[in-house]
Amino acid sequence: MERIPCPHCGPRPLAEFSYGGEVVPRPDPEPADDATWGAYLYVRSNPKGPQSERWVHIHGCRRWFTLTRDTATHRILDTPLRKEEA
Amino acid sequence: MAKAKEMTPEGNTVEHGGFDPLAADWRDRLSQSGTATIQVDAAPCQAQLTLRGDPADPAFAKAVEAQTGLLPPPVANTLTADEHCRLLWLGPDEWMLLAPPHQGALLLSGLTVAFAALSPATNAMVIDTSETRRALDVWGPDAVQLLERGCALDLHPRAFPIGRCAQGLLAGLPVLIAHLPRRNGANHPCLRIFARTSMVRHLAWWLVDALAEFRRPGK
Ligand SMILES: [Zn+2]
Repeated sequence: MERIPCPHCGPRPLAEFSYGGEVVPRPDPEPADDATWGAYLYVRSNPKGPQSERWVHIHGCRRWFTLTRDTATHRILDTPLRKEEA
Repeated sequence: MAKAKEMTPEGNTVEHGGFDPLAADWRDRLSQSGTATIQVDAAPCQAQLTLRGDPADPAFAKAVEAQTGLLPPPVANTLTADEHCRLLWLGPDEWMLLAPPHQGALLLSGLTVAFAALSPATNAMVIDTSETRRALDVWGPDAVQLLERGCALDLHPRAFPIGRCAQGLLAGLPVLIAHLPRRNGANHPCLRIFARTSMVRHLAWWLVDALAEFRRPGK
């Protein structure tokens, strides 16, 4: 089974994780119009290659983190632990 | 408040809710399923408190230590323990405090008061989650081999020595496994497996079933 590197627990089987999709910055709610919200909710870049994405170690420490994965090879390129996730 | 210093075993009675999914008939079934090299039993019921806070904040760590006698374990997937209580890592800002059942209410009120007295800049929280999980103990020379049938965590003592804990999947269930130096006063190490109370019988059935393989002639 493919292993996902949790920044807290180390490499763990994929079955322990849930996928949260591509990292999409949340718009500032005040000036955002319907089109901006629509894009935030539904539009993804779907690249072939490295993608920054959210994962949660749902059956482990239950923490969200961001990693970069190559969508063509499934190779995981890095898992920086961001300050708000520490 | 000083930590209660009573010398009692971990306790075998359910003091919360009154419903024990691993009551007498299950304890018999589990003990009869044991082999020469693997033993299984329901773990003693204990108070389980969930603590949250910033381990790097000395005010939080000090308050926890003053109430429980234990510091939050600094390393992920480890636990700290004394003869009464255990503090298990659940996440970078989350721990589970295990205590004898009769100490649960005292620890809960002590921690609640201590956390309320901290400055607003310190995040700290405690909640009673005693009924959330029910635990089983597995021990003996082939205990790890048994669990390997349904768990991808590396539970070999080389990777999972006494004092380690980890959350993962066992027999399809989300579980918390801790490697303890002794169980209920008896001086042998055991793997204590916490599962959701509503699902723990599934785990018990799975263990009974998996044990059959180890009872075959020649095993
Ligand atoms: Zn984790």
